[in-house]
Amino acid sequence: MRRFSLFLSLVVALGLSACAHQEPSRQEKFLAAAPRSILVVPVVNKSIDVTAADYMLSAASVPLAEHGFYVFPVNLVKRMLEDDGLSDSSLVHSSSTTKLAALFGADAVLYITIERWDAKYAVTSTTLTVGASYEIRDAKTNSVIWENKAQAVHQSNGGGGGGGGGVAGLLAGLVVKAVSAAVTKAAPDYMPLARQVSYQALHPYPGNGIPSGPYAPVAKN
Amino acid sequence: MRTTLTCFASAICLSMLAGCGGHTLYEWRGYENKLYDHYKNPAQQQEFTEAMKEVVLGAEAEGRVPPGIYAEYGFLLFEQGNSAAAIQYYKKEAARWPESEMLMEKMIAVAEKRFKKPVAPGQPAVSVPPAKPAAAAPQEVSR
Repeated sequence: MRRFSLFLSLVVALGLSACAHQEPSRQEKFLAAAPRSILVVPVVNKSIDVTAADYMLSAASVPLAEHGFYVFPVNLVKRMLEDDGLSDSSLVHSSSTTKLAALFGADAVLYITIERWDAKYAVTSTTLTVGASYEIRDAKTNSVIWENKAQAVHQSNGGGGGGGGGVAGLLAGLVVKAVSAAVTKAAPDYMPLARQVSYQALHPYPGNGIPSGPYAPVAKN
Repeated sequence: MRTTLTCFASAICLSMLAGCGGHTLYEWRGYENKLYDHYKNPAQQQEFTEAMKEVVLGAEAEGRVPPGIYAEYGFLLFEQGNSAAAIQYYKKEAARWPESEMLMEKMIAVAEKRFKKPVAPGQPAVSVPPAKPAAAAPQEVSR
Protein backbone atom coordinates (compact mmCIF):
# COMPACT_ATOMS: atom_id res chain seq x y z
CA MET A 1 0.00 0.00 0.00
CA ARG A 2 2.73 2.40 1.03
CA ARG A 3 4.75 1.35 -1.97
CA PHE A 4 1.82 2.22 -4.19
CA SER A 5 1.58 5.70 -2.72
CA LEU A 6 5.30 6.13 -3.23
CA PHE A 7 4.90 5.01 -6.80
CA LEU A 8 2.01 7.39 -7.38
CA SER A 9 3.92 10.37 -6.06
CA LEU A 10 6.83 9.41 -8.29
CA VAL A 11 4.57 9.16 -11.30
CA VAL A 12 2.99 12.51 -10.56
CA ALA A 13 6.38 14.11 -9.93
CA LEU A 14 7.72 12.74 -13.20
CA GLY A 15 4.65 13.97 -15.01
CA LEU A 16 4.97 17.46 -13.59
CA SER A 17 8.65 17.70 -14.37
CA ALA A 18 7.93 16.51 -17.88
CA CYS A 19 5.42 19.31 -18.28
CA ALA A 20 7.82 21.98 -17.10
CA HIS A 21 10.91 20.85 -18.96
CA GLN A 22 11.81 22.48 -22.26
CA GLU A 23 14.81 22.56 -24.52
CA PRO A 24 14.24 25.29 -27.07
CA SER A 25 17.34 24.43 -29.08
CA ARG A 26 15.84 21.12 -30.17
CA GLN A 27 12.67 22.87 -31.25
CA GLU A 28 14.19 25.89 -32.98
CA LYS A 29 14.01 24.60 -36.54
CA PHE A 30 10.49 23.36 -36.05
CA LEU A 31 9.35 26.67 -34.60
CA ALA A 32 10.98 28.55 -37.48
CA ALA A 33 9.21 26.38 -40.07
CA ALA A 34 5.93 26.57 -38.07
CA PRO A 35 4.01 23.91 -40.01
CA ARG A 36 0.21 23.93 -39.64
CA SER A 37 -0.37 20.63 -41.38
CA ILE A 38 1.52 17.33 -41.20
CA LEU A 39 1.38 14.49 -43.69
CA VAL A 40 2.03 11.11 -42.08
CA VAL A 41 3.30 8.73 -44.74
CA PRO A 42 3.35 4.91 -44.51
CA VAL A 43 5.82 3.51 -41.99
CA VAL A 44 9.16 1.91 -42.84
CA ASN A 45 9.49 -1.36 -40.94
CA LYS A 46 12.90 -2.66 -39.90
CA SER A 47 11.43 -5.50 -37.84
CA ILE A 48 10.62 -8.92 -39.22
CA ASP A 49 6.92 -8.65 -38.34
CA VAL A 50 5.29 -7.63 -41.62
CA THR A 51 2.07 -6.41 -39.98
CA ALA A 52 3.88 -3.86 -37.82
CA ALA A 53 4.00 -0.96 -40.32
CA ASP A 54 0.25 -0.48 -40.71
CA TYR A 55 -0.36 -1.03 -37.01
CA MET A 56 2.17 1.65 -36.13
CA LEU A 57 0.60 4.02 -38.66
CA SER A 58 -2.75 3.68 -36.90
CA ALA A 59 -1.24 5.12 -33.71
CA ALA A 60 0.23 8.32 -35.18
CA SER A 61 -2.74 10.59 -35.94
CA VAL A 62 -4.24 11.08 -32.51
CA PRO A 63 -1.18 12.43 -30.66
CA LEU A 64 -0.28 14.78 -33.53
CA ALA A 65 -3.80 16.15 -33.93
CA GLU A 66 -4.20 16.51 -30.17
CA HIS A 67 -1.10 18.72 -30.21
CA GLY A 68 -2.89 21.06 -32.57
CA PHE A 69 -1.83 20.07 -36.07
CA TYR A 70 -3.94 19.35 -39.10
CA VAL A 71 -3.13 15.71 -39.77
CA PHE A 72 -3.95 14.34 -43.20
CA PRO A 73 -6.14 11.18 -43.11
CA VAL A 74 -3.52 8.43 -42.92
CA ASN A 75 -5.53 5.69 -44.58
CA LEU A 76 -6.57 7.93 -47.49
CA VAL A 77 -2.95 9.01 -47.96
CA LYS A 78 -1.70 5.43 -47.86
CA ARG A 79 -4.28 4.29 -50.42
CA MET A 80 -3.58 7.24 -52.74
CA LEU A 81 0.13 6.49 -52.69
CA GLU A 82 -0.54 2.80 -53.35
CA ASP A 83 -2.76 3.65 -56.33
CA ASP A 84 0.11 5.73 -57.57
CA GLY A 85 2.57 2.85 -57.43
CA LEU A 86 4.14 4.00 -54.17
CA SER A 87 3.20 1.07 -51.97
CA ASP A 88 6.84 0.61 -50.96
CA SER A 89 7.21 2.89 -47.96
CA SER A 90 11.01 3.03 -48.19
CA LEU A 91 10.56 4.53 -51.66
CA VAL A 92 8.21 7.12 -50.18
CA HIS A 93 10.70 7.89 -47.40
CA SER A 94 13.52 8.42 -49.88
CA SER A 95 11.45 10.68 -52.14
CA SER A 96 11.73 14.44 -52.14
CA THR A 97 9.73 15.85 -49.23
CA THR A 98 8.92 18.97 -51.22
CA LYS A 99 7.38 17.01 -54.09
CA LEU A 100 5.57 14.59 -51.82
CA ALA A 101 4.13 17.39 -49.70
CA ALA A 102 3.05 19.28 -52.83
CA LEU A 103 0.83 16.39 -53.89
CA PHE A 104 -1.22 16.79 -50.74
CA GLY A 105 -0.69 20.45 -49.92
CA ALA A 106 1.14 19.63 -46.68
CA ASP A 107 3.50 21.94 -44.77
CA ALA A 108 5.61 19.09 -43.37
CA VAL A 109 5.95 15.31 -43.58
CA LEU A 110 6.34 12.86 -40.69
CA TYR A 111 8.46 9.79 -41.42
CA ILE A 112 8.18 6.92 -38.94
CA THR A 113 10.61 3.99 -38.91
CA ILE A 114 10.02 0.94 -36.74
CA GLU A 115 13.32 -0.11 -35.15
CA ARG A 116 12.03 -2.82 -32.81
CA TRP A 117 8.83 -4.87 -32.84
CA ASP A 118 9.63 -8.24 -31.34
CA ALA A 119 8.91 -10.74 -28.62
CA LYS A 120 11.58 -12.64 -26.73
CA TYR A 121 10.54 -15.74 -24.88
CA ALA A 122 12.47 -16.92 -21.84
CA VAL A 123 11.57 -19.79 -19.53
CA THR A 124 9.38 -17.80 -17.18
CA SER A 125 8.78 -14.55 -19.00
CA THR A 126 7.98 -12.89 -22.32
CA THR A 127 9.47 -9.55 -23.27
CA LEU A 128 7.80 -7.42 -25.92
CA THR A 129 9.68 -4.47 -27.36
CA VAL A 130 8.45 -1.74 -29.67
CA GLY A 131 10.79 1.04 -30.74
CA ALA A 132 10.55 3.65 -33.48
CA SER A 133 12.27 6.75 -34.77
CA TYR A 134 10.42 9.85 -35.94
CA GLU A 135 11.55 12.53 -38.33
CA ILE A 136 9.66 15.60 -39.55
CA ARG A 137 10.90 17.29 -42.70
CA ASP A 138 9.86 20.71 -43.88
CA ALA A 139 8.11 20.89 -47.26
CA LYS A 140 9.73 24.18 -48.22
CA THR A 141 13.35 23.34 -47.44
CA ASN A 142 13.34 19.53 -47.67
CA SER A 143 15.31 19.48 -44.40
CA VAL A 144 14.75 17.75 -41.06
CA ILE A 145 13.14 20.16 -38.60
CA TRP A 146 12.52 17.72 -35.73
CA GLU A 147 13.44 14.17 -34.77
CA ASN A 148 12.87 11.82 -31.89
CA LYS A 149 13.04 8.19 -30.82
CA ALA A 150 11.04 6.16 -28.35
CA GLN A 151 10.94 2.62 -27.10
CA ALA A 152 8.59 0.70 -24.83
CA VAL A 153 9.15 -2.68 -23.24
CA HIS A 154 6.68 -5.01 -21.63
CA GLN A 155 7.81 -7.95 -19.57
CA SER A 156 5.32 -10.50 -18.39
CA ASN A 157 6.38 -13.03 -15.82
CA GLY A 158 3.54 -15.47 -15.49
CA GLY A 159 1.25 -13.23 -13.47
CA GLY A 160 3.16 -12.83 -10.23
CA GLY A 161 4.03 -9.37 -8.97
CA GLY A 162 7.71 -9.20 -9.82
CA GLY A 163 9.65 -8.52 -6.67
CA GLY A 164 13.02 -6.92 -6.08
CA GLY A 165 14.70 -4.14 -7.93
CA GLY A 166 13.93 -1.45 -5.37
CA VAL A 167 12.03 1.66 -6.36
CA ALA A 168 13.28 1.55 -9.95
CA GLY A 169 12.09 -2.01 -10.32
CA LEU A 170 8.74 -1.21 -8.78
CA LEU A 171 8.31 1.78 -11.03
CA ALA A 172 9.20 -0.14 -14.16
CA GLY A 173 6.88 -2.97 -13.21
CA LEU A 174 3.93 -0.72 -12.67
CA VAL A 175 4.45 1.44 -15.71
CA VAL A 176 4.39 -1.77 -17.68
CA LYS A 177 1.13 -2.72 -16.01
CA ALA A 178 -0.35 0.59 -17.09
CA VAL A 179 0.04 -0.36 -20.73
CA SER A 180 -0.41 -4.03 -20.21
CA ALA A 181 -2.69 -6.24 -22.24
CA ALA A 182 -2.83 -9.97 -22.39
CA VAL A 183 0.47 -11.25 -23.65
CA THR A 184 0.35 -14.77 -24.92
CA LYS A 185 2.79 -16.74 -26.98
CA ALA A 186 0.22 -17.21 -29.71
CA ALA A 187 -0.50 -13.60 -30.52
CA PRO A 188 1.22 -10.93 -28.47
CA ASP A 189 -0.63 -7.63 -28.52
CA TYR A 190 1.88 -4.93 -29.42
CA MET A 191 -0.64 -2.12 -29.71
CA PRO A 192 -0.47 -0.79 -26.14
CA LEU A 193 3.29 -0.51 -26.62
CA ALA A 194 2.97 0.96 -30.11
CA ARG A 195 0.61 3.65 -28.79
CA GLN A 196 2.88 4.36 -25.84
CA VAL A 197 5.84 4.81 -28.20
CA SER A 198 3.80 7.10 -30.43
CA TYR A 199 2.60 9.27 -27.55
CA GLN A 200 6.06 9.39 -25.97
CA ALA A 201 7.80 10.38 -29.18
CA LEU A 202 5.23 12.96 -30.24
CA HIS A 203 4.61 14.42 -26.80
CA PRO A 204 4.91 18.21 -26.78
CA TYR A 205 6.50 18.78 -23.39
CA PRO A 206 9.70 16.85 -22.71
CA GLY A 207 12.87 18.40 -24.03
CA ASN A 208 12.95 16.81 -27.43
CA GLY A 209 9.16 16.91 -27.77
CA ILE A 210 7.26 18.45 -30.59
CA PRO A 211 6.08 22.05 -30.14
CA SER A 212 2.32 22.61 -30.18
CA GLY A 213 0.48 23.25 -33.43
CA PRO A 214 -1.90 26.05 -34.40
CA TYR A 215 -5.06 24.37 -33.07
CA ALA A 216 -3.62 23.63 -29.64
CA PRO A 217 -5.63 25.38 -26.93
CA VAL A 218 -2.50 26.54 -25.08
CA ALA A 219 0.02 29.03 -26.39
CA LYS A 220 2.99 27.70 -28.32
CA ASN A 221 5.83 26.53 -26.14
CA MET B 1 -7.77 -2.94 -3.53
CA ARG B 2 -4.67 -3.72 -5.45
CA THR B 3 -6.67 -3.75 -8.68
CA THR B 4 -8.23 -0.38 -7.90
CA LEU B 5 -4.83 1.14 -7.24
CA THR B 6 -3.37 -0.31 -10.39
CA CYS B 7 -6.31 1.06 -12.35
CA PHE B 8 -5.79 4.43 -10.74
CA ALA B 9 -2.10 4.38 -11.58
CA SER B 10 -2.91 3.41 -15.15
CA ALA B 11 -5.41 6.22 -15.43
CA ILE B 12 -2.83 8.74 -14.24
CA CYS B 13 -0.22 7.50 -16.69
CA LEU B 14 -2.65 7.51 -19.57
CA SER B 15 -3.96 10.97 -18.85
CA MET B 16 -0.38 12.22 -18.73
CA LEU B 17 0.31 10.55 -22.03
CA ALA B 18 -2.73 12.32 -23.44
CA GLY B 19 -0.95 15.58 -22.75
CA CYS B 20 -0.87 16.74 -19.13
CA GLY B 21 -4.58 17.40 -19.41
CA GLY B 22 -6.96 14.49 -19.29
CA HIS B 23 -9.57 15.72 -21.74
CA THR B 24 -8.95 15.59 -25.45
CA LEU B 25 -9.21 18.33 -28.02
CA TYR B 26 -11.31 16.15 -30.34
CA GLU B 27 -13.90 13.41 -30.09
CA TRP B 28 -12.08 10.40 -31.54
CA ARG B 29 -14.63 7.64 -30.86
CA GLY B 30 -12.02 4.89 -31.04
CA TYR B 31 -10.63 5.92 -34.45
CA GLU B 32 -7.21 4.40 -33.63
CA ASN B 33 -8.75 1.05 -32.71
CA LYS B 34 -10.99 1.04 -35.75
CA LEU B 35 -8.09 1.77 -38.05
CA TYR B 36 -6.09 -0.98 -36.36
CA ASP B 37 -8.99 -3.43 -36.79
CA HIS B 38 -9.13 -2.49 -40.45
CA TYR B 39 -5.43 -3.21 -40.97
CA LYS B 40 -5.86 -6.47 -39.08
CA ASN B 41 -8.81 -7.52 -41.27
CA PRO B 42 -8.40 -5.57 -44.51
CA ALA B 43 -11.07 -7.61 -46.32
CA GLN B 44 -13.79 -6.22 -44.06
CA GLN B 45 -14.23 -2.92 -45.91
CA GLN B 46 -17.93 -2.66 -45.16
CA GLU B 47 -17.34 -3.03 -41.42
CA PHE B 48 -14.63 -0.38 -41.49
CA THR B 49 -16.89 2.03 -43.36
CA GLU B 50 -19.67 1.47 -40.80
CA ALA B 51 -17.19 1.94 -37.95
CA MET B 52 -15.97 5.22 -39.47
CA LYS B 53 -19.55 6.37 -39.91
CA GLU B 54 -20.00 5.98 -36.16
CA VAL B 55 -16.84 8.01 -35.58
CA VAL B 56 -18.03 10.84 -37.84
CA LEU B 57 -21.59 10.97 -36.46
CA GLY B 58 -20.45 10.71 -32.85
CA ALA B 59 -17.81 13.41 -33.25
CA GLU B 60 -20.23 15.66 -35.13
CA ALA B 61 -22.82 15.32 -32.37
CA GLU B 62 -20.17 16.53 -29.90
CA GLY B 63 -19.06 19.30 -32.25
CA ARG B 64 -15.45 18.12 -32.03
CA VAL B 65 -14.67 16.37 -35.31
CA PRO B 66 -10.93 15.56 -35.54
CA PRO B 67 -8.89 16.69 -38.55
CA GLY B 68 -8.93 14.23 -41.45
CA ILE B 69 -11.96 12.27 -40.26
CA TYR B 70 -14.52 13.60 -42.77
CA ALA B 71 -12.06 12.90 -45.59
CA GLU B 72 -11.15 9.45 -44.27
CA TYR B 73 -14.83 8.48 -44.23
CA GLY B 74 -15.47 10.15 -47.58
CA PHE B 75 -12.69 8.15 -49.18
CA LEU B 76 -14.18 4.86 -47.93
CA LEU B 77 -17.51 5.84 -49.48
CA PHE B 78 -15.66 6.64 -52.69
CA GLU B 79 -13.89 3.26 -52.66
CA GLN B 80 -17.26 1.59 -52.30
CA GLY B 81 -18.56 3.43 -55.32
CA ASN B 82 -20.63 6.08 -53.56
CA SER B 83 -19.02 9.13 -55.18
CA ALA B 84 -21.88 11.52 -54.44
CA ALA B 85 -21.71 10.93 -50.70
CA ALA B 86 -17.91 10.98 -50.84
CA ILE B 87 -17.97 14.46 -52.37
CA GLN B 88 -20.22 15.73 -49.58
CA TYR B 89 -17.73 14.58 -46.95
CA TYR B 90 -14.74 15.96 -48.88
CA LYS B 91 -16.55 19.31 -48.90
CA LYS B 92 -17.13 19.11 -45.16
CA GLU B 93 -13.42 18.42 -44.60
CA ALA B 94 -12.40 21.37 -46.76
CA ALA B 95 -14.87 23.70 -45.07
CA ARG B 96 -13.76 22.71 -41.56
CA TRP B 97 -9.99 22.54 -42.22
CA PRO B 98 -8.52 25.04 -44.70
CA GLU B 99 -5.25 23.03 -44.66
CA SER B 100 -7.08 20.26 -46.52
CA GLU B 101 -8.54 22.43 -49.29
CA MET B 102 -6.00 21.59 -51.97
CA LEU B 103 -6.24 17.84 -51.46
CA MET B 104 -10.01 17.91 -51.16
CA GLU B 105 -10.31 19.78 -54.47
CA LYS B 106 -8.31 16.99 -56.09
CA MET B 107 -10.35 14.28 -54.40
CA ILE B 108 -13.62 15.96 -55.43
CA ALA B 109 -12.41 16.23 -59.03
CA VAL B 110 -11.56 12.51 -59.10
CA ALA B 111 -14.91 11.56 -57.56
CA GLU B 112 -16.84 13.84 -59.93
CA LYS B 113 -15.08 12.36 -62.92
CA ARG B 114 -16.18 8.89 -61.92
CA PHE B 115 -19.65 10.03 -61.04
CA LYS B 116 -19.86 11.33 -64.63
CA LYS B 117 -22.61 13.94 -64.30
CA PRO B 118 -21.84 16.57 -61.66
CA VAL B 119 -23.76 16.38 -58.43
CA ALA B 120 -26.16 19.15 -57.54
CA PRO B 121 -25.36 20.59 -54.12
CA GLY B 122 -27.50 19.11 -51.38
CA GLN B 123 -28.52 16.15 -53.49
CA PRO B 124 -28.90 13.03 -51.36
CA ALA B 125 -26.26 10.34 -51.55
CA VAL B 126 -26.78 8.03 -54.50
CA SER B 127 -25.45 4.50 -54.53
CA VAL B 128 -23.69 3.46 -57.68
CA PRO B 129 -22.27 0.00 -58.31
CA PRO B 130 -18.83 -0.51 -56.75
CA ALA B 131 -16.10 0.49 -59.12
CA LYS B 132 -12.38 -0.09 -59.05
CA PRO B 133 -10.78 2.63 -56.89
CA ALA B 134 -9.50 5.21 -59.29
CA ALA B 135 -5.82 5.94 -59.57
CA ALA B 136 -6.30 9.24 -57.85
CA ALA B 137 -4.60 12.56 -57.95
CA PRO B 138 -0.86 12.25 -57.20
CA GLN B 139 1.16 11.95 -60.32
CA GLU B 140 4.77 11.24 -59.81
CA VAL B 141 7.17 11.49 -56.94
CA SER B 142 10.77 11.53 -57.85
CA ARG B 143 13.84 12.17 -55.87
